[in-house]
Amino acid sequence: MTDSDTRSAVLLGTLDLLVLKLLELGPMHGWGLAEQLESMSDGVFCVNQGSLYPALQRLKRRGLVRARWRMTDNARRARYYELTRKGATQLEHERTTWSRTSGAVNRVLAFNRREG
Amino acid sequence: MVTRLFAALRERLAALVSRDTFEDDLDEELRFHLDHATARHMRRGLPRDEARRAAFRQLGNVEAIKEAVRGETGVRPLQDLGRDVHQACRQLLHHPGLSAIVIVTVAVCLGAGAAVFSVVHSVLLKPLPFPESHRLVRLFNSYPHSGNPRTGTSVPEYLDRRELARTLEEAALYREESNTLGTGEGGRHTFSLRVTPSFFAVLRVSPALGRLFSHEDDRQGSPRVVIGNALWQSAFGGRPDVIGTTARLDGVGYEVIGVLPKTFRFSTWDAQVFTPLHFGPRDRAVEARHRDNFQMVARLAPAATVEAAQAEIASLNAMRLDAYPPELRRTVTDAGFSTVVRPYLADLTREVRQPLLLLWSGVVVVLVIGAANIASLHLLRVRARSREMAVRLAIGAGRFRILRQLVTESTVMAALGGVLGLLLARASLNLLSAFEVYQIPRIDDVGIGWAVVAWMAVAVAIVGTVAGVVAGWSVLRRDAHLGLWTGRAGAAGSSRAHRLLVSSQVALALVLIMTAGLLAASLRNLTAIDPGFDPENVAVAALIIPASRYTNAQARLDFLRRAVDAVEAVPGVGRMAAASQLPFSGSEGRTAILPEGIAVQPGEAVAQPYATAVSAGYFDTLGIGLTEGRPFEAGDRRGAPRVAIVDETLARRYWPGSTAVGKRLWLGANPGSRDELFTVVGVARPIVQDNLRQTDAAGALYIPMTQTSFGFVRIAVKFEGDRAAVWSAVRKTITALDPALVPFWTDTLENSVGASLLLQRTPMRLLSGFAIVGLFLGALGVYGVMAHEFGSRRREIAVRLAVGGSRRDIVSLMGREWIQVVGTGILAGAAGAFASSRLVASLLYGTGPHDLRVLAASLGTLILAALIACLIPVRRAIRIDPAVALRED
Repeated sequence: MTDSDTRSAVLLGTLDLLVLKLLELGPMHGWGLAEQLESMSDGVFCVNQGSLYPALQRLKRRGLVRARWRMTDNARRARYYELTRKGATQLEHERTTWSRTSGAVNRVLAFNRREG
Repeated sequence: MVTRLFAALRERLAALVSRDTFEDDLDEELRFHLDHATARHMRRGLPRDEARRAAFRQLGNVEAIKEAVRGETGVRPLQDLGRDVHQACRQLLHHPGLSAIVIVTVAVCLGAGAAVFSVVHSVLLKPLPFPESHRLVRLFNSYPHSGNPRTGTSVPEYLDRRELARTLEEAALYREESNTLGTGEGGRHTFSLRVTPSFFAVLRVSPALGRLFSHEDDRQGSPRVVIGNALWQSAFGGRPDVIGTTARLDGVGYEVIGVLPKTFRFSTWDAQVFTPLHFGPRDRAVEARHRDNFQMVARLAPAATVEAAQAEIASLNAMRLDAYPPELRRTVTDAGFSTVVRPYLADLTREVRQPLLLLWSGVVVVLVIGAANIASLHLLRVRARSREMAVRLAIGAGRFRILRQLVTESTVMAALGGVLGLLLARASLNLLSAFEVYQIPRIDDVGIGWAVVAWMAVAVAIVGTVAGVVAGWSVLRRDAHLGLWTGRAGAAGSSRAHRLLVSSQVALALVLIMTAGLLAASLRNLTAIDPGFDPENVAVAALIIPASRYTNAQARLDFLRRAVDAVEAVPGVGRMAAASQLPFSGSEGRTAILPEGIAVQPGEAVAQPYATAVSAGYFDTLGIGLTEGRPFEAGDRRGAPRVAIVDETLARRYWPGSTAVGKRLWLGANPGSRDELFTVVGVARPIVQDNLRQTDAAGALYIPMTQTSFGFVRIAVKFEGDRAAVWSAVRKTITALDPALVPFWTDTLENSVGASLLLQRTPMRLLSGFAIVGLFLGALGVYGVMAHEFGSRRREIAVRLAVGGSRRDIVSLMGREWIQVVGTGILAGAAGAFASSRLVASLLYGTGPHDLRVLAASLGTLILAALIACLIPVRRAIRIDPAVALRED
């Protein structure tokens, strides 16, 4: 966890959103998701890989994703997660909420800068 | 929507049911992750090992992740339980020896508990098999000042109460009798009850077949009979057309009108034949009062209490008493007359209640000792795992979670032991017959029913929880991090809980041993009592000489005389006696007597001695000595002057300072005419009638059978050699005289005397068994604490030896621990034993908590066992090789 000093941890509660987003691109296994999260976020924040799996289980329980065992390209069994219809709706919903929230946060931050 | 709900449900079920699949999937998924992460690190140039380590580091604590994923499955509580149980089983298998000890301990303790509970439940607690049976009461007259605290009820009282008592919904009289059913070879002896027609109404029994008695049967006086289900099956083949057929009872034809249901069981008298009682006008007369020849059972009115009934009957009695002739009124009042109303169940079980409750307490004590053992074994085992506990705490497992795991482990063990215990209990109930328990009411119903299983479940839960919590408390209350370094979380200090457990075990074991010791001493004192007669080599039986075929008293006497002559000619037979009752035969025939010329002082009760009609050979056969006068002779026949023999107790009471021989007395509480007087011709030594704990205060009176009337006789035969052979010859001799007459209730007098101690002997034996188990478990506990003491001080002992300490120092080091644990236990136990001996006081005879011999023997046994228990640990301690021991850590 030494990395967490230099990179901010993924924002609380956003992991589910990120995972849903990644799965929108197509079915993927846990490792793949971890790798993608790390590379896509450009090293800006660190995903605690360990919290990925509980998150997947959580999404699965809420019926937002479903899991299936399938063969990978190099013929190994892996558990693939894919978005359900409910998951897709939820993603849309959260995407809206997120942009609203982040917009608000940005505005507040901008306001602070002008003040300073 | 429905499909999604279904999917979610399936998901949960799948997670629950296929726990293994779930875990396997999770494992595989994480392995997949780690493999790929490792591969990526290797691609970036790290060597394999380092790459692997980096992958692990990046993923984080695998166990914690798994725990978190499990936490997201939504079936957590159940799943946790499942996993706890799973892990508990693995732990059990990990230490099979220790687990076996714990499970066997639980099985023995809970098994004994279940067995005793099943008896307590069936005998004392379960309602009687009658509707609203809590409303059933028994009523009996009591004349405590005449030495007769319990008799029956008279007919006028019955008629009065049915008519007047508003607290009684219905009342009935009954009398226990026995008959011969059928004739000739097919004849069999049956227990019977003569009952008023109201009897079945009181009990609210409906017939399985036919009808029961009505008051018509009472008036008509026609011979009708109701039979029990068992007899219907065995003698009538269970045929429904039995109704209306004729059954021969003692040679007389009775019309069978009804069959009772299978569940019917009344009192300990397993009657199968019921005939109606008839009362004539004579029975209603005032003279018939206090002829308490019947037993009364009644049903309380819906709102009535036992106290209310008691009060009403007392006032009814007082009202009638006012109308008595003054003489009789005084006699009855002076005897302390009252009528007692008791709940039927409590009265039925009055004699077994205390012994059973004593056994129950004993078994509970064993249970507590066993539970303490289980707790300390669990404690030791958990402490051995304190490193694991510490690690689990460190990675964030909750304390509650760990505690729950420990409780699950101990409960799983307790449950396994409980199941085994139920099997043990069942097996041990089969042994009940070995304890001559036929005298105990409702003992036939004892079995492992739902109540016992429920009891077992509760006991398992308690034992499991206590053991788990004690272990958990001891491990978790300390700073868990210590455990990480020492692997033995606070080893020396935390044994305080352990010591406390073992001390209480020692204390409880001492209480058990002492109580068992006191009971054993009482039994020894009781068996040492001289009953006043010689029961050795005396065979006894009962015989009915039916009035139906031997129509007058003389005919019955003639038969009896021929029988005695023939039997006494049988080789191996000494003398034969016939009597209306024999000591320890269970009958209690008493008569009030009134000596001629002696005015009973006001306030002084009329004596009600045991009154026995005996044949001439009675005193010889039973070896009862006469101190004065003569035994009965051939000359004391019907028509000759009436004679009697009194015992010394009676003689001393009425004729102190002079001889009783030649004095005269009346039977009954009223003076009769001159020719009804009996002249005392002899004085016999007093004998114990039916209870070794007391010689009867009212004394005994004997009259010759020749001068009275009888149909039912007890016979006693003094024999030499093999009882069975002699007895079969006697039997043959009697049936040769009359094939219809078969002696029944054959036994020896010695057995009868022994059987009277059943309620002393059985609790003593069982409690001794409990004491042995308790002692063993206590010793095991002492061993455990000493072994642990040795284990945790191994280093210290080695250091002491290394710096020149002597073996003696080591022994005293270990000894201090022993004295602390055992000494505390003994002090607490002695106090407990004194306190509890008051509870058993009524079962004791000639001994008490002050009995120093019992105290010394109990203490000696306990200390010896505790010493043996610490032998191995101490031996190991003094044999330590410091060089080896110090190098170990």
